[in-house]
Amino acid sequence: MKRDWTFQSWLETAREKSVSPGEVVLQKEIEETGTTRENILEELSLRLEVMKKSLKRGLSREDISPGGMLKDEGQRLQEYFSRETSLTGAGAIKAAIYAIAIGRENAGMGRIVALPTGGAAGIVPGVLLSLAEKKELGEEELQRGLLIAAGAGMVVGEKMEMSGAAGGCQAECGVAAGMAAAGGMALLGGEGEQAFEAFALACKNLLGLTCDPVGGLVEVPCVKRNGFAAVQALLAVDLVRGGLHSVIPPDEIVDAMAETAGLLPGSLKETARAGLARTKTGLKLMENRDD
Amino acid sequence: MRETIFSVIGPVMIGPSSSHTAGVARLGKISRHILDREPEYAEIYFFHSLAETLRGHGSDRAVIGGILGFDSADEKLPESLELAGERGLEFTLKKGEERGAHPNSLLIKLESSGETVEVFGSSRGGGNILVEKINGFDVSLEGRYNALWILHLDRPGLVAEIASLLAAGGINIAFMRLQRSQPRGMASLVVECDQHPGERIQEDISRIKFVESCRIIPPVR
Repeated sequence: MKRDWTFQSWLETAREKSVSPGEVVLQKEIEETGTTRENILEELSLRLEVMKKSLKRGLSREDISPGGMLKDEGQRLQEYFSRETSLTGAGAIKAAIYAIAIGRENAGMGRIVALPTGGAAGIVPGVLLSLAEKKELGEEELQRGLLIAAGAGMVVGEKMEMSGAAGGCQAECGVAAGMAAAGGMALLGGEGEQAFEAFALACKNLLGLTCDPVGGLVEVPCVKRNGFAAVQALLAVDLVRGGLHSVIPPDEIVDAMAETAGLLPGSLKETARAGLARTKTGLKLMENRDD
Repeated sequence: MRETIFSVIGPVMIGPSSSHTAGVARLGKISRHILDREPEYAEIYFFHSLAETLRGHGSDRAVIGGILGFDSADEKLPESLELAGERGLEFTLKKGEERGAHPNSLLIKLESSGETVEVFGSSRGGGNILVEKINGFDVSLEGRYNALWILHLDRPGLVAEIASLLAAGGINIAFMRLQRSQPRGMASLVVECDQHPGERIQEDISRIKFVESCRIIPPVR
């Protein structure tokens, strides 16, 4: 019988087959799609290429976004922190800048990889690409990190829909932070239990996050939130490395998120009917727009 | 719905929203495939969450781009409203009410030289879609397989005849959904296949007695 895809069954499968958790994801993909290992790895590399391109473009962008609320965030931050020292640390600020740059590229109708969604697209590549640069890791490690991040995202996908409209921002940036933490931990060599612990810590901290962007646009708070979520993912990895663990197991955190998704009111799920979208400034910014 | 890693690491898409841009573009494109010719007129109704954030998420550009045949990663998507004029597509965009429907639902009506289709579907997060109704018939299409959409009269043995034509052509059926309007009335059959059925099988099915029409709906990206 086919097993449900949970963190627990994932780990058990790895133990039974005596393979790594990343290998379990790869074998599952081969089995369920009928594609070859080579094709899957090639497709992962193609998507990494798209991520790198969207990062590059996001870092040089200086046009005004469709909603008029964003401009050159990526470029401006990178320029400043090439001269100045960051308080959060070189690794954290780099991940945040990368995540914000890709978020900015997404907001400008640029080409990105949804991860797991467009609004959260900067978080996983922000963490993985910056970490790979810092640790001088190559393509193979990045593919492995993505496999673990994807496996974690798929656990959530089994239990709930990942969209702001169905689950609020916890289902987008919350899940992405968890995926990034798991993938980041995998890049450092902890692709099993440690990665799942990192997922749990990052995801848990963003439970209940609402989706209330100004004018319904993926601009405010989405783009900067990508930066914040990337830093949280790195912190989750550090907490696990430092010996902490999540009291609530990762599978139960996913259950809690799915339950919370149902309880969040529709006005806070990508409808621009409450929260930030209805602040004085938020409304004023959208006043002169025709939708 | 998410049994491949590339539904969470993907799709590769034009921003800003996987459900309000990419998914909507795919719904537009699958509607074009269902019409099976160059659309001349489109009327689109956006519901709930989609209606609230319509222009902000580029859902208007996405759906028109899809109807023009662009996939969700096509860099022409942001210019689709302007390109529609050049391609001779007229369109109107409306906000609608539909109680109990999924928060990201839309209805796409397409017309071309007297032929019309009405496609009701929803965008299910991460660019995934579900077509729920075609011309009022319940269907369940995710746009991931090559599908046949067959309209026929409700008569004994028709499904068997269609299945044997597919079997003879080496085409494996992955999913199938049949619904009739009333006993001996018009029925709709959607067959999702592991392989592209090909035009010959399409013609053979079209020639079966009591079959009204048979269209191939390829997967959409």
